[in-house]
Amino acid sequence: MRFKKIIRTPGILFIIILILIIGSFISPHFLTLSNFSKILYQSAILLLIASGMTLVITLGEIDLSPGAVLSLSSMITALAMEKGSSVFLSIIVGLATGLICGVINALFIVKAKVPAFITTFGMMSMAKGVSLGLKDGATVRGLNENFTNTIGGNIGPIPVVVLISIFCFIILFVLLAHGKLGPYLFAIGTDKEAAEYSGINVQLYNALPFVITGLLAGVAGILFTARLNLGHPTGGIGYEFEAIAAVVVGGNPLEGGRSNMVDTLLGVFALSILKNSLTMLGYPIWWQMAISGLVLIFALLVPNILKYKLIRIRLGDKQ
Amino acid sequence: MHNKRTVIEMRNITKVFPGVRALDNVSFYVKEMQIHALVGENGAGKSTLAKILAGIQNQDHGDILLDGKIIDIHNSRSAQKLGIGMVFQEISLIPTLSVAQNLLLAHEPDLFNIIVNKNRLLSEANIYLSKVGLKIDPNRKLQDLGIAEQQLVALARALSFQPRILILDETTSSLTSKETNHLFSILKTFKSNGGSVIYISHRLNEIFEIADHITVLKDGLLIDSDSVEKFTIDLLVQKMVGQKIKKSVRRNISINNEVLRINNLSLRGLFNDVNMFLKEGEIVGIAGLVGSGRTEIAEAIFGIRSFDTGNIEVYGKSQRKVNPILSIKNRMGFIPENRHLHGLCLGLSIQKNIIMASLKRLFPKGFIFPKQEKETTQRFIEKFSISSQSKSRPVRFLSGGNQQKVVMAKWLCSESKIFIFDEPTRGIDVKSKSEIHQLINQLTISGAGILLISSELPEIISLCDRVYVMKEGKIVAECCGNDIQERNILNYMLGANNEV
Amino acid sequence: MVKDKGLVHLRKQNVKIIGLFKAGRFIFPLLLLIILAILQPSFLTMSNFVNILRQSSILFILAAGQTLVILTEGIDLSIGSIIGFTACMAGSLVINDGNNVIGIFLAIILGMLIGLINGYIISHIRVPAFVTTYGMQILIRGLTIAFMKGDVFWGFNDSFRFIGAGSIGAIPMPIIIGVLVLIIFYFLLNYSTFGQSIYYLGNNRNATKVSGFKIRKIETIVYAISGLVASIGGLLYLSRLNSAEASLGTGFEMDAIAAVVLGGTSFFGAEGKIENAIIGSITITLLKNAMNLLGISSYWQPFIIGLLIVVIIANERAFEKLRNLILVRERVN
Repeated sequence: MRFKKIIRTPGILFIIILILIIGSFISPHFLTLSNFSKILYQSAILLLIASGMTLVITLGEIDLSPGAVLSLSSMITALAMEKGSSVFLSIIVGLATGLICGVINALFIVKAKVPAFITTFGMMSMAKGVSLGLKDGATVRGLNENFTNTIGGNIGPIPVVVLISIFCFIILFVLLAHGKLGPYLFAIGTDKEAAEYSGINVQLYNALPFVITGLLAGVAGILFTARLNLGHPTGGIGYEFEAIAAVVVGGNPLEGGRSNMVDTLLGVFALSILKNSLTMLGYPIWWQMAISGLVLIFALLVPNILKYKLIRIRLGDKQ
Repeated sequence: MHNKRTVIEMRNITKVFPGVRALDNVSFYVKEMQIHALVGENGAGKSTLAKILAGIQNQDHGDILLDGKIIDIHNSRSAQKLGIGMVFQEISLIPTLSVAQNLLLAHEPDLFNIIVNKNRLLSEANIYLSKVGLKIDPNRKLQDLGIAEQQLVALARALSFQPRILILDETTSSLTSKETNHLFSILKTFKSNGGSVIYISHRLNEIFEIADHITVLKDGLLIDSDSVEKFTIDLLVQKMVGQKIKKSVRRNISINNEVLRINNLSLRGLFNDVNMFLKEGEIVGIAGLVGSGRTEIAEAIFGIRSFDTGNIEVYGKSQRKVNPILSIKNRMGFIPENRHLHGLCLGLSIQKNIIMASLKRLFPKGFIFPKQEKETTQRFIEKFSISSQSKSRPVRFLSGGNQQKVVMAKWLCSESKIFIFDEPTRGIDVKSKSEIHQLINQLTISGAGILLISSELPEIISLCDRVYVMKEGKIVAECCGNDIQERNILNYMLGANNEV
Repeated sequence: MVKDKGLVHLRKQNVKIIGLFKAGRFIFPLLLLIILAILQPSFLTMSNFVNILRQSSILFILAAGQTLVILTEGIDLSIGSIIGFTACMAGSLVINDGNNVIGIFLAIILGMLIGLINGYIISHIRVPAFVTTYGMQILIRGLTIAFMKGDVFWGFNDSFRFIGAGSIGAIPMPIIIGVLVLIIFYFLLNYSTFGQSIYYLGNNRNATKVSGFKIRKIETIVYAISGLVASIGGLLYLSRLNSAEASLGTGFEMDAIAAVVLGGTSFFGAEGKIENAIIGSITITLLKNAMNLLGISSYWQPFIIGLLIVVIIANERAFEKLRNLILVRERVN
C-alpha cells in the first residue's frame, strides 16, 4: 500500500524491467555491478537537471536552457581555474553562473511576462553564444588536480558526483513532498488565479523553480567539468531535452499541477539504462539522441491521446 | 442598534473595466455584529465590491477604512492579515490537494518557514472543520468531496484566518435548504462572537431570514442601503430591477413553421432528456441558475459540444451529430455568453469580424474580393449603427454594446434564421441593453426564431413568448403567456424547497 | 489611493509612443547601416547591397514560413533541422546520382512531410507547439547525423549551383525566389480565405471554430507550409554554400524567429504582415555583417540573437500593458 503510494505509475517500472530483460539478452555485461555503477555515474548529471525540471514542469512551464547553462558553468569554472583561482572560488563562480542565468530567466518570465519557453530558448542561445565565444569554441584543459581528484573522485566505492547529485535530489524531494513548495507549486500549476486568491506569493513561487534549475545546472556544470577534466563549451547540449523526457516518461504530466520526484528518479533511471543498452548494442551517440527524441514524443502522445478520448466521452468534446 | 461601531467603510469606490463602469462612486459601511446583505442583478457590481475588499482587485478611486483608518489592500495576503476572509462564488480551491492542505494553504504551520508541520496541519484543520460541522478525513483529496462539502471547506478556510469580516459570495447557490440552514447557524455564531458578515445572494428569501442590513446595487451605482425592516420583497425587487418590467408587444407567431426541435437530448452529467421546439418568429427563453445546464444545451445545439443521445431537427431535417460548419449551413447563429472567448476576434477590425462566418459562402473559390467584402459589411455597420471612429480599428476598442452588435451582425451577415442568444446583455451598459433588446425583437419580424438564455429574469419576461425553465440539467417547466412571471419562474428555477 | 496618476499625461503621449514603437523597426536597420558605412566605407557599394539582399532573401524565405506559424500563435523550432535533413538528402542524391530534379523534389516533399507531422501532433493530439517542434528538432538532427555518418558532400554540378549562386541578368536567383515567395505569401495572407482564417485562428481559436472553420486543418497546413519553405530555403543555402554536412542549418530557427518579431509581427498571434519579415530579415543580415566587421566571432552571434528575441518580446509585453491601460480609459471616457 505504502509502496503503491510512492510509485504512482507502475508503467515506468514495467518499462525499466523490460529494458533490463532485453539488455541482459544483448550483453552478458549488462547485468553486472560494474555496469550499474557506470549507469549510476552517467545518470548523476541528468538527475540534477531533471530534478529542477520537475519543479518547472509542475508549474506547467518548461525550461529549455539548463543544457546550455551547464556548458557555460563548465567553461567559467574551468576558465577561473586556468586563470589561477582557487578551487573553492572557481566552484563559487560556477555556481553563481548558474544562479544568475536562472534569475535572469525568472525575471523575464515573471516580471516581463515573456513566455517561459521563448525566454529559456533565448537563454539557451545566449549561454551557448557566451560559452563558445569565451575561447572561440575551444575546450579548457589543465585544471587544478585537487579539483578533479576530489569532485571527480570517489568516497569509498561511490563517486562524489553521484553523492552530490543524490544529495541535491533528496533536498528537492523533501521540499516537494514535505515542504511548502510542493502544495504551492501544485496550486499554481493547477489554477494560477485560485493560488493568487489563496494568498500564495505567486510571483515568487513562479520564479523559484527557474532559479533552482539554473543553480542545479551550475552544479551540474561543475560536476561535468570534474568528471571530464576539462571545460566544455557544448558539453551540456541535449541535457535539457533528456531531462524533459525523463520527467515525462516518469509519469509527471507536462501540463503541470502535480508531480513526484520519485517518478522523475525512475524516469532518469529508465532513460539511462536505455542509453546504456544502446551503447552496448553498438549504436553511436547520434542514434541515442534520435531515440530519446522518439521516447519523449511517445511519452507525450500516449497520455494526450488517452486524455482527450476521456474528455470527449465525459463532457462532450469542447475544443 | 445605533451604538455599534463601524468596522469597515468604503468611500467613493470606483472601478472601471474595459467597456463598463463596474462600480461608480459607491460608499458603503459595515458595522460590527452585523450581517450585511449585498443585492443586485448580475453585473450590478456586488462581486467586484467584494473582490476589492478581499484584495483581488484594486479600486481605481476611493478609500477603504478599517476602524476609521485608511488601509491599503493590495492583494489577498494583506486582506487576510487585516482580518478579511472571503468565500468565493466559484470554488477557488485546488482539487488535487488534500482538504487540510487547502484549508491552510499559504498559512500552514511550518518549521523554519520551509517544511510543513504535518501533525499540526491536521490538528488545526480538524479544529476549523469542526467549526463548520464537517466530519471528514482532512487527508482526503478535495476533488473527492461533493460541492456542498467543498463550499464548507472554503468557509472553514475563510474562518481559519480568524477574520473580523467574512464575505460570502453566492455561497448557497449550490446548497440544499438543509445545508443552507446549517450555514446560517454558523454565520449567526460568528456574528454573536463579534464578527461582521457581507452576504451576497440572489435568493431574496434567505436575505430576509438572515440579514440585518441590505444594500442594493444596480449597474455599478448604490441605489439604497438601509436596515432590513425597511424592505419588503417587492420593494427590493423593484429597486434591483429599476422601472417596472413592461411586457413587449405580442408578435404574430406562425403556428406551423417549426424551425428547430430538440428531441431527448442528453449529455451525461450536464443535461438530461431535454425536449424543446422553436417556431418561426418566436422568442423562446431558457431560464435557470448558473450550472443548470442551459449554456451546455445551447452549445450542444450549435455543435460546439457533442451529446450522448437524442437528436436535433432543423427545418424538419433530423440530425444525430452537429458541428458549427453544419449549423451555419443550416442558417443557425450563436451569440455566446462570453463574447471575448467565443464571439469575437478582438484584435481584428469590425469588417473582418462581421464577415467571419460568411467568408466561405461569399467566396467559395477561396479568393477574397475586398470590394465585395467592404460593401457587404458596410450594410450591417449602418443597419446596426455600430459607432466607431474607424472601421479598420480592432474591435477591442469598441464598447461592450457595440461589440455585441458586431457579433449579431456576424450572424445576420451569414443569413442566419435561427439565433441562439446566451446572455446577450451581460456586461453591457443600460442604453445599449435596450438597443440590443430592440434588435432582437426586430429579428423576429423578418421571421427568425430565437432561443434566449439569460439569468436576468426581467429580460426573459419582457422579450419571450415562451419560457423553458431548467434545473439540474432538466427542463422542469414550460411557461406561456400570463404564466411568464418573475415569481413563477423563480419558483421553478429554485425548486419546491426554496419558495420565494 | 489614486492609482492612475499620470494617465492623462500618458494619453497625450499615446500616439507618440505607438508611433515610436512602430518606427523602431526601421530605425534599427538604418542605424546598423550607418555603423557599417562608418566602419567600412566600401560597404556602400551596389554589389555589396546585392550581396546583403541575397543573404536576406534566404532568411526571408524561412521567416515567411515562421510568420504564418507565429500568426497562429504557434512556433516552429524544427526548421533548422528540417533544413539540415532535407539539404543533406538532396545533396546525397545530387552528388551520387547527379539527379537534380529528384533531389530537389525529394527535399521539398520531405520538408512538407515533417511539417505535416508537426502540425498533426500539435493540432490533433494537442502537444504544445514548442515541445513538439523542439522534439522534432532533436529527432531530425539525430537522423541527419546518423545518415551522414560524418561525411561531407561538396562540389555540386553547375545546374544545381545555379539556384543558389547563379543569377538571371543582374539579379541573383535567391532574390528572385524570395520575391516569388513574397508574392505568393502576400496573396495568400491578404486575398485568400485560407490566409484570413490564419488571422482568425491566431486571434481567437474558439471564435474561429464557432464561426465554422476547420481549425485543426488550418493549423496542420500552416506547419506543413513552414516545413516546405524551410526546405526550399535550405536548398538555396546548400546550393550557395556548395557543401552539405550534418550540422547544416543549426540555429536557423533563431534567426527566422528573430527576423519575424524584429519586423514587428506579434509573438502572440494574429498581428503582423508578411512584409514585416522583409525588414526583419534585412536587419538580421545587416546585424550579422556588422558583427563580422567589428571582429565579433561568429560564436557570439547566438548570444546577440537570443538576447534580441527575448528583449523584443519583453518590449512587446510592456507595450501591450500600456495599450490596455489606455484602452480602459478610452472606452469609458
